Amino acid sequence: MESVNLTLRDGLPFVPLRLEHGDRAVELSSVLIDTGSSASIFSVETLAELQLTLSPNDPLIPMRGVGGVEYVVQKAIDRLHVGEAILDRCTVQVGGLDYGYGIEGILGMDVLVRLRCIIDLRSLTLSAGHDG
Amino acid sequence: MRWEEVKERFPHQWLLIEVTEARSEGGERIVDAVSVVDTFPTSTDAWRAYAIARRQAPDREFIPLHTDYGELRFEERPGIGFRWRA
Repeated sequence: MESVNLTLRDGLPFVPLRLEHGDRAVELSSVLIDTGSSASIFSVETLAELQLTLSPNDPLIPMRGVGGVEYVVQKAIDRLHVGEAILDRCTVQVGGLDYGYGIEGILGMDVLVRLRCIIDLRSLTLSAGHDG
Repeated sequence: MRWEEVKERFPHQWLLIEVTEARSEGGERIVDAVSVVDTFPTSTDAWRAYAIARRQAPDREFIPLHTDYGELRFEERPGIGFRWRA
């Protein structure tokens, strides 16, 4: 079982995460676990660190919710690491990501399900990579 | 301003635009008129400005994009979770 420590801040659960693309890597220390979000999202700055830039014709997607409309773009990243668990070829949303709370990214249900994550609020860990 | 007019006036540039007329129809967001907020040298600059604009005026609709982008018709998706907290 591979697990990472989960930190509660302002009542919200955060984990560290590593993103890799080509020969570049970025370590994020505060990624929000959000089971109410279908998709995962990272900032354009993080993508730029991975030397992934947005193209003029990348399709824009309006995400509509109670907060109005937020535009994002989708990009594929080579690898996403949660502790020792790895997700290859991971499509994520990229956006302005200015939600406050020091959020460096959001881990949504797409990744949580694919990595078969267990959010353990008793031991405050997120474990990933289970078979069933 | 119509999008075609923006494309003519600001060719091959990254912009932040504000939507002034739009409708949601059949799962699509169709933007009819916009105003140009600013131009930027890179996509990262335009998206950074988008984040700031959205935070300062959450009720207004902005889009960071390049004038080589095609029609302003987008497939809408529902979003909930933390990002949509009031």
